[in-house]
Amino acid sequence: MSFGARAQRVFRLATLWVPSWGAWYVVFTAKHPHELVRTVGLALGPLWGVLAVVLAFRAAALTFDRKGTPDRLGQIDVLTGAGAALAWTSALAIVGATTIGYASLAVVGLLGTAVFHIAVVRTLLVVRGVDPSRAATTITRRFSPDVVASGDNVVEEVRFDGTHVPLGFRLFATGRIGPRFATSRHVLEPSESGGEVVLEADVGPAVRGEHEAEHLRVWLEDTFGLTRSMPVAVAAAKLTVLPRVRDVEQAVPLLERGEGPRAPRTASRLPTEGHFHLREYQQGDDVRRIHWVRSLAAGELVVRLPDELPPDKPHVRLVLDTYFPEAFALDCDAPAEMLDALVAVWLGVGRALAAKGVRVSMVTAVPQGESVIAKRIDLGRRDSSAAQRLGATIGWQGRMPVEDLLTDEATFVVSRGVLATPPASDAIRWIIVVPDLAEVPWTAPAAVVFPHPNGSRDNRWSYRNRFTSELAKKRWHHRRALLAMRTNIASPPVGSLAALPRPNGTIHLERIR
Amino acid sequence: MKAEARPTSTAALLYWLAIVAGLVGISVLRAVSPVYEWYRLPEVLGPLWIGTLAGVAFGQLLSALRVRAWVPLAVLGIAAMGPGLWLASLFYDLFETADRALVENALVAFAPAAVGGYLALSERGSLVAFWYPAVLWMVVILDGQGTAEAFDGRAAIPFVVGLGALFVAFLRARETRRAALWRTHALGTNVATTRSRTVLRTSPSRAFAEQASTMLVAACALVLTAWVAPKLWQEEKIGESFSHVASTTTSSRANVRTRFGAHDGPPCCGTEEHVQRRKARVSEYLPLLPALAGDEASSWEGESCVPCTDGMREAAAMPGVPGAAEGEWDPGRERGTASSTASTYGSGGYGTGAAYGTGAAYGSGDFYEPTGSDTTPTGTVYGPGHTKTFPVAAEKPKAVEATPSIAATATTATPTGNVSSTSSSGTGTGTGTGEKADTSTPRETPTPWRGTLVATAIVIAALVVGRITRRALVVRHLARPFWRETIDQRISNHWHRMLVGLRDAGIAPVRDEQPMAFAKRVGIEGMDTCAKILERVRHGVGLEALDLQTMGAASQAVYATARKKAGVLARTLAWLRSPLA
Repeated sequence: MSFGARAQRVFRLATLWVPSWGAWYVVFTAKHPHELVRTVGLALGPLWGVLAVVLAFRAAALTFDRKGTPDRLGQIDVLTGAGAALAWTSALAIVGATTIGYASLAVVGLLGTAVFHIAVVRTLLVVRGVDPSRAATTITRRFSPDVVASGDNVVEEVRFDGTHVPLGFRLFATGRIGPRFATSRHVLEPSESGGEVVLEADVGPAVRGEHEAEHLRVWLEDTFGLTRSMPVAVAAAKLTVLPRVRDVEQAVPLLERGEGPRAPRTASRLPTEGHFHLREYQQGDDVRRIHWVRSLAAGELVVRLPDELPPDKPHVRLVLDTYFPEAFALDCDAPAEMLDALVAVWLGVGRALAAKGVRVSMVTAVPQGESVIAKRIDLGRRDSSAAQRLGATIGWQGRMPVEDLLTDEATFVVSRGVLATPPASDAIRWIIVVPDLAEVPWTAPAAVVFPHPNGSRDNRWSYRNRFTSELAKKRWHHRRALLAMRTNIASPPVGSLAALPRPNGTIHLERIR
Repeated sequence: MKAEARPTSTAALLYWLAIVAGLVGISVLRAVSPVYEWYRLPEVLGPLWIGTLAGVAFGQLLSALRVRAWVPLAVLGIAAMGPGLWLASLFYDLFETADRALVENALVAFAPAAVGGYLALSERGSLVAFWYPAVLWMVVILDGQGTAEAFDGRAAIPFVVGLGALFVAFLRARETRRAALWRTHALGTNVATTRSRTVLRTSPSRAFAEQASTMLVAACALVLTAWVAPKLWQEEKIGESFSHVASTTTSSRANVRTRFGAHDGPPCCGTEEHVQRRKARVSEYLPLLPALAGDEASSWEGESCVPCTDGMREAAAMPGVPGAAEGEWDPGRERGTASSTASTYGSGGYGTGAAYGTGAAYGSGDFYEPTGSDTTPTGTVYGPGHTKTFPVAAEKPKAVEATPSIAATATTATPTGNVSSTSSSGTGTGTGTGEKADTSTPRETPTPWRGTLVATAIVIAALVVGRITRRALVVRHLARPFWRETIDQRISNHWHRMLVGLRDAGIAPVRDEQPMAFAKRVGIEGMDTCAKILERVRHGVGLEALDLQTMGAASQAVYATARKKAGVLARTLAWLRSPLA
C-alpha cells in the first residue's frame, strides 16, 4: 500500500471520531454546557458507546486472528468519501450553530451526524469485513460464447442466485476480462437480495488470447453511500478468443517460395535393380500399381514403382517471431496490438499458401508453464482451426529468439523487424508486419469541467490527477514501444515482404526494395 | 422481467420539492399572518421566491454543464477584485432605495440557493446542499415561535418529520443516482453496456423491509435531532441586531431589518412574558417573525399598535407599521420614528429609515429620550389606565404626503393620538382616532396546516382505498368477468390472474418467455395445465368443452398456492401493488 493510500486510510479511521468529538468539544466550551452535556450524552452517548465497543471487539478479533486474514485494518476502514464528507460537514455545521447561531445549522448538523453514526454502527454490526465473500458461491459468471473470434461481441453473464445482501445495503460488483476489455459494473439492489437475477453486459469486441478473466470485485455499500465493506474477489471465468483468419492480397510473390521440384524427376535406380522397379506392397500404395503377374509368382502383392517421380508439393515453414523481452517492461497496448497483427498475418499468409497448394508448417514459440517451447503444426488446406487455437495461446516471450526456430528449409519469418542476422542462403526471407499503431490520444479530462455528470465518483480531482499521470506514462511507453518494435538489426534480405493490415480486414503484401 | 434503469433525476426532484415546499410554507405563513397586508406580500415574498428559484436553477445548470466548483469561485474572486466593484457601484446607482432592497433580498436568497443547487447533485456536498432547504423549513417551523424555550414542538411535528424524511430520502436518492452513474461512467476505461437485467425471482416483502429499514434510520436520526438540536438554538436579541447593523448605511440597515418582511418586532405589547418573548427569537439565516400572543395578533389585525412599559400598554400613538421597507423600530432601545409616509397601518412604515441615526425621529412613551436638534413634536399617548403626553421627535427625509391616521386600542379610554413631527426636510402630522376593545381572550393566529394535513391524509387514504378496490375488482373480473367475454379472452384472463398471484410471490416471467417454459421454470402444480391451454388458444387450436373450467380451476389453484408461498406480509402488501402483474 502506498503512502498516500495509507494516509487516506488513517484519515478515514480518524474521521470515525475526530470531527464529531471535536465539534462537541467546541460546543461545550462555547456554551454553558450542563444541560447540553447531559442531553448529548443521553442522545449520542449510546451510539458512541456501541461504536467504541464494536470497534474494540473487531480490533481484538483481528489482533488474535490466526487465519491470516489479509488487510486486517481494511476490515474496520468502512468509510467512503461521501461518509467522511458527511462526518466533517455535519461537525462543521454543529460548530457553526454555536458560532454563527443559525438554528438550521444545528438541525442539519444533527441530522448529518445522526445518520452518519447510525450508518457506521450498522455497518460494523451487520457487515463483517469479508462479508461479501459469503456471496461467492451464489455468484456465477460466464461469457457467451465462451470461444469466440477476435472482433466479435462478447456478452458477460453474471448470475446472482440467492445472494444475501443485508438490509440497507447494495451489492456492487465490477470486473473485466483484461486490460483491453471493457469493464463491467453491476449493482444488486437491496430489494433483490435472496432472489435470482441475471445481468448481461456487452464487454466486446473480443481481443485475441486465452483469457483467464480477472475476478469480479464485490463489496457492499450502504444505501446512503456512507460506508462500505472490504472488496473481495469472486467468480473467475475463462474466455478463449481465436484470431480471425484474414485474406491476403497480392499473395503471388509467396508462391515463388517453397521447397521441392517443379517438374517430374526420374526415379534413380541402383545397378542391381531391374528394369521394373518393383517392391512389396505397402499400405497406402495405389492399388492400380499392383503388378498382378509378379504378385502371383511371388505369392504376395508386389507393386511397380513409376520410372519418374511426380512434381512434389512445395513446402514452406512459416515462423512467427514472438521474441520481444522489452514487452514486459512496457505499460501500453502497443505490444499487444503488434502481436495481434503478427498473428493475423501469420495465419493469413499460411492460409493463402495452403490455398495455393503449398504445404505449410506453422512454427512458433509458445509458453508452456515456466518455459518456452517451439511448436510446429501443419496447416490443413481447408481447416485452420488448429492453427487458430495455437494462435490464441501466443504471447510475447523473452527466452527463445527467432534463430532457434530457423532451419535450412524454405522459410518465411513473420516478424516485427529483422531481429537476427539473416543466414547467407536465400532460403529464409522475412515478412515484416507494419500495423497502424496510432498514437495514444490525450484523453485527460479538462480542468474546468467534470468528465462525467456531477455526482460521479470518477470526477474526483485526485482521480483525474492519477489518470492524467497514467496517461502521460502510457504515451511515453507507447513511444518507447514503437521505437523498440520498429528497429531492425539487419536489413531485410532480398525478396522480403512488408505486410500491411488494412482497416477492411485484409492484409496487403508488398515487396521490400 | 426486465428491470428498467433507475432514474437518476430523483435526487434533483427531491431537492426541488424541499425548496418549493419550504417556499410555499413561508408564503402561506406570511399570507395568513396578521402582520402583512395582502398587497405587500409580493414585495415581501417576491425576492425570496425569485432569488431562491433562480439560485437553485443556476446552481443545477452549472452542475448539468459539469462545471467544476473552482471555476465560478474564481470568476467571483476575479470579479470582486476588479469589475465587481464597478458593477456594485453601478448597481447602487441604478436602483432606487426600495428597488435596491428588493434586489439585495433576492441576492441574499440567491447565493445559498445557487450553492445548494450545485452541490445537491455532487457526491460529497449533500449536507451543505441541504442547508438552504433546511433554512426555509426552519422558518416555517420557528416563525412566530419566539424563543427556543417557547418553542411548541407538538405543533411543529409534521414539519420536523417532513424535514427529516426529506433529508434521508434525499441522501438515499443521491446515492441511488451515484450508483447509477457508477454503472455507466468510469474514468480511463470503457464501461460495458448493460444488455439486460432479468429478475427471475425475488422476495416480495424485501422491498418493504428495505423501505422500513430506511424509515427506521430516518426516525432514529429525527429523534436524535429533535432531542439535541433545540439545545443548540441561540436566541437573537431583536434590539441588539438593530444596533449591530447601525454602523452600516441607513438604507442597507433598513433592508436587513426588513428582509422578507420579517421585522425586528412589532411595536405592540402585552404581558411581561409576551414582551420578553417579543424581544428575542431563534436566530436564523432568514429572519423569523417574532412571537405574537393572541391579543397581539388581534391588535396586528387592527390598525394600530402601541408601545408599552412593564408589559402594560401605554402608548397608542406609535405609528409602528411593520412591513415597510424603510421603517425601523427598535424595541431594545424603544425608539420609534413617528412619521409615516402612508396613511394606513402596515403600509407606510412606522418610521423613516433614512432618518434614523441623524438625530431625530425618536418617540416613545415615558421612556422617551429626546435626541437631536430637530424640532421635537409632542404626542399624546393613551394607554390603559392613564394618559400621557410625550414628545415625539421625528425626521422625515421627504415632505409628508399624507396624514397618517392611527387607530389606537385602549380598554378604558378612547384614544386620540395626535402626532406631529417636523424635520429639516419636511413636516408631517399624524392624527389618529380610533377605538378598539382590548380582547382578553387570546385568539390564535390562523394556521392553514391542520386543514392541509387532514386533506393530505384523506388523499393518501383515498389512494390506498382506490388501489385495494381496483385490485379486488380486477381479480374478480379476471376470475368471473363482469360482462360477457369470449372463451379465448376468459382463458387469457385466467392466465393473467395466475400471473397476479405469482407476482405476489415475487415470481415473474422473463420477456419473451413462452408459457410452457415459464411453467417448467416455476414448477407450481397446475401451471403446466394452464400453459398448455393458453398455448392452444394462442396457436388457434380448438378448445375442448371442459378447457375453460379446467383453466379456471388450475389458475385458481396456482393463484392460491403462490399467495400462500408469499407469506402474510407479502400478501398484505400485494393489495397496494401497482401494476398487478
